[in-house]
Amino acid sequence: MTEKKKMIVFTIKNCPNCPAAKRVAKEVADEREDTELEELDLTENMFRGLQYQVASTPSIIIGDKAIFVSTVPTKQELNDALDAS
Amino acid sequence: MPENKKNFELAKTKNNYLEQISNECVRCGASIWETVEVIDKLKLNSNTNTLRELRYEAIKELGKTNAKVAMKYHSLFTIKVRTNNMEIESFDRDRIAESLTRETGLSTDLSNQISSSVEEELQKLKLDFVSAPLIRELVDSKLIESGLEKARLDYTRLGMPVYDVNKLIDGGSTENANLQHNPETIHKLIADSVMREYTLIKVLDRNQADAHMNGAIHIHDLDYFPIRPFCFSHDIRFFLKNGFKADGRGLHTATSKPAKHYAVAMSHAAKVLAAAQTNFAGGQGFSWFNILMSPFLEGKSYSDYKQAAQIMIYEMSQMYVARGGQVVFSSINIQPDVPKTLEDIPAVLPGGKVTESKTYADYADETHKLFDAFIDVYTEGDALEKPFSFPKCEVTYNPKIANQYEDSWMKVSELAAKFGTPYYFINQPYLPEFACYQCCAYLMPLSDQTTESDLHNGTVRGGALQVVTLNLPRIGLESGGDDNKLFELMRERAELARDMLIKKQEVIKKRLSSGVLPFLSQPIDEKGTLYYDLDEQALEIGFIGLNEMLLNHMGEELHSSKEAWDFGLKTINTLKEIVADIAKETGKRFVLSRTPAESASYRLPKIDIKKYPNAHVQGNKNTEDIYYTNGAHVRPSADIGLFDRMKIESSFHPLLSGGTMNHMFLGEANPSPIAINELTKKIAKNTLASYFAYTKDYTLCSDCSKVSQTLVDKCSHCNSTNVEGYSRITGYVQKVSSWNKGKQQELRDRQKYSVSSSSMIAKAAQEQDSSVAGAGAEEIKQENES
Repeated sequence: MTEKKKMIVFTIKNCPNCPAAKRVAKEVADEREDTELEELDLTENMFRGLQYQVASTPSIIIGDKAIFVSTVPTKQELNDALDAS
Repeated sequence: MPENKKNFELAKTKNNYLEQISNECVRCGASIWETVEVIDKLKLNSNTNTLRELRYEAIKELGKTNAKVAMKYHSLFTIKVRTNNMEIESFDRDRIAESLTRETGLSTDLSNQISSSVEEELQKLKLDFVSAPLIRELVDSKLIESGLEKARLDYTRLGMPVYDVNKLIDGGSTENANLQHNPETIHKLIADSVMREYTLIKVLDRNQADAHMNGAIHIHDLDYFPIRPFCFSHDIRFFLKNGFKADGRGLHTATSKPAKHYAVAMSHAAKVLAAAQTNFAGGQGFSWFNILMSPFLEGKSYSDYKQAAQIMIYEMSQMYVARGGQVVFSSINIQPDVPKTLEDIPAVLPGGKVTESKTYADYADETHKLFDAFIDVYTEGDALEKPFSFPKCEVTYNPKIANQYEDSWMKVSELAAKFGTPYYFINQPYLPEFACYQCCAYLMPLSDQTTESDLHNGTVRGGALQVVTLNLPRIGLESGGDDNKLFELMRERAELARDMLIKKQEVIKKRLSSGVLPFLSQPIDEKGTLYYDLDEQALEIGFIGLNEMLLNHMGEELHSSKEAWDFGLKTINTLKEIVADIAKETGKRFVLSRTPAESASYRLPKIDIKKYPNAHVQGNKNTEDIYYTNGAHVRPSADIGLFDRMKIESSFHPLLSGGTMNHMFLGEANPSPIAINELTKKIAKNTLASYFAYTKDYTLCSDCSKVSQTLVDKCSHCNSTNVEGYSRITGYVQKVSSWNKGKQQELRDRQKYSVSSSSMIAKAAQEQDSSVAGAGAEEIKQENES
C-alpha cells in the first residue's frame, strides 16, 4: 500500500480565517483517499511550526513544505498542490 | 566653628609646620642658632599658614646667613612637580591632602596621613622632579595599603601604557574593522581606552563590570556607554518641514530653512545623519527614504533622479568625519511601492509645505523611479567602479506585491549578483504592519513605537539605546547538561543584562538633561519636547553562540539533528519569555535580538577556553584563531545545503523581535542575477527569513584601484599582488586585513554557495512565480560540490 500524503493545517484560537482553512483542508482530505490530515494549534506546537517555516495562521503544510502561509486556499488550489506533491 | 577656636587650630597647625621645618633645617646642616633665628622670624613675620610657603620663607631666611644650607634645604625638601597644567611647581603635601578630601570624601585627618606617607616615600626616592601622575600612583598605592579601595577608585588616573600608545600610533587597531588607521582614529582609540576604563570603574556596578570582564556578558561599545546612545532611525520629514540645525540649536552652526530643491534636500539628509552620528555610537538611518523624498522629484527627468541618489550615496560614503575618521555608519530603507500605511498621509513638499490634498499615494511613480535610481547608482559603483558600502542599502520586499515591480527586483538582483550590496527586509506575515531594519540588524517595530500622530506629523523615529550580549556557550559550560540549570542561568544572566541596560538609561538621562547630547536634546515644539524620546528606545538583550551552547550542553550542533534544532528553538523561546517578563516587570522596552557581535565573537571564546580548556569553539584553539557562531546561526563551515541553512536560521526570526540576519555567502565570481532573483522569491515565500543579504567577496587593487571578483592574491586587471580583500564582516562590508583574528578565521571557514546552476535558472523560468511554493533546496549546490 502506498504511503498517504501528509497534510497539516496550523491554526490558532480566535484567528478569523482559521475555521475556513480547516474546513477546506478537511473537505479535501475526506474526498481524497491518498491524504492524511493533521490539525495542529500553532501556539501549542510552535517549534514544529517554526521548523516548517510557519509563524502565522492559517497555514497548510504538504509533505514537509509550507505551501499556503497566512492564506485560505480554494479546494481546487489545495487539490492541485496535493497532486503536485 | 567659632572664630577663636578656628584661630587656635590655625596656630596649632602652623606650630606643627614650624616644628617640622626646624627639624628639616637641622637635617640640612643648619646650626641650632641659625635654625632658631629662622623659626623666630617666621613666627613673627610670616602671615602664611601652608607648609609649602613657610618652607620657601625659611629657605629665604636661611639664604641670608648660610647659602649652602639654604640650597641643600631647597633641593631636599622642595621636590619639583611637573603638573597636569604643564607647569613645574614645588611639591606640596597639603595639595595631596586637599585633593584627596575633595575627590574621595576622605576626612582631613586621613587625607593628611596618606599625604604624609606619600611625602616620606618621595623623600626616600631622592628625586629632583616627579610628575603629577607618579604622585597619584604613589597615593593610590598608599590608599590600597590602608584598605581604602573605594577611595582609590575615585582617585585613580585613567590612561594607557606608553607601549600601547606607541602600538596604536604605529599599527592601529583591528577591534573595529570600520576604522582606517589615521590620526583621527588614533585619537579616537586613545580616548576610547580612557572611556572604557571610566565605564568599568565609575559607571557600572562592580558585578556588572566583572560580568563583562569575565566574559559572561559582552557590553557593546563600552567606550561610548556613558555618553552616547546606540542606533537610530530618523524620519526625514521632520527636517524637510523644519529645516536643519547641525548642532541641534543653531548656535554653533548655520541654520537652514526647509529645502526647496531635491539637491538641497538630499544634502540636508546626508548632514542629518552626520550630525546625529556625533551624538550616537551606532548606525544612523532613514526609513521610507525614497518615498518621503519623492515629492522633490516631481516632474524631473530620470537623470535628476540619479543625481539625487548620487548626492546621498556619495555624501554618505565620502564624509570621512564621524567618530574619529570614519564615514557615518548609515543606512537607507527604500522600496519600490508606497505602503498602505503611508498612502493617505499628506506629503511634505518642497519648502516644507504640507497640504491635505497631496498624499504619498500621489507620488507612487516618483517613489518607484527614485528606488530604481538608487539601485542604478549602487550598481554602477563609484568612479573606479568600486561598490558603495554606505549608506547600507536596505530594500523592503513585500512578497504580496513584488511581482508588480518585477523589473525593479531584477535590478536589485543584478546589484546583489555584482556587489552583494542590498540587505533584504522581507515583510513577512508575522511582522508588524510597518517596521524597518537598520544599523547592523536592528529591527525597529515601528508600530510599537509610533502613534498615528507620529505617522501624520513626520516623527516616526527610534532605535536601540544599548546592546548587551549573553554568552550562551558559557551558560552551556556551567549548566553541566542539566536543562533546568541552563534556563536558570539564562534568567540570571538576562537579569544582569537588564540592570546594565537600566544603568545605561539612567546615565543617558543625565547626559540629555545636562545638554551633552545637543542634537538629541533639541526641542521640537514650544513645550520643549526633546527630539530623542529616551523612554521609547529599545533596550536590546542579544545572544551569541547558540550552536556552541548546544555542543557544550548536549553534544550536538544546531544542524546535526531535529532534536538539537528543537532544543535550540526551545532555548531561544525561553530567553524570549524571560525578556518579555523583564519588560513586563520593569515597564521598559526590552527586546531580544541576535547581535552583530563583531568583537564579542572573538573576545568571549578566548576567555572561555582559558577557564574551560574543553569548551567548544570554532577555529583553531592552538593559534587562538577562534570564534563563536553568531546568534542562532548554523556554524559557518557546516556542510549543509543553502536552503536547509536558511530554513534552520530563519525559524528563529519570529522569536527575535529586536532583529536578526541571515548571510548567504556566494562563492561564484559572477552569479546569475536571474538565479538570485528566483532565490530571493523562494526565500521570501518559503522561509521565515525577515532579513538577509547575499555576500559577494571582492578584491581591490591598491595599484590600479580596480575590483577583481572574489578574494584573490593577484589583481585580475594588472596582476599586482598589492591587493586588499573585502567581505561582509557582520552587518557591513569592510577590508579583511582589518578584521580581528577570529573573524578572519570565520571567513576562511565560511561555506560558500553557488546559486547559478543551469537547473536553477531553467526551473526559475518554468515556475515564474507560481503560487505553489516548494522547489528550491535541491537546486542550490554548495560551492565545493558544484
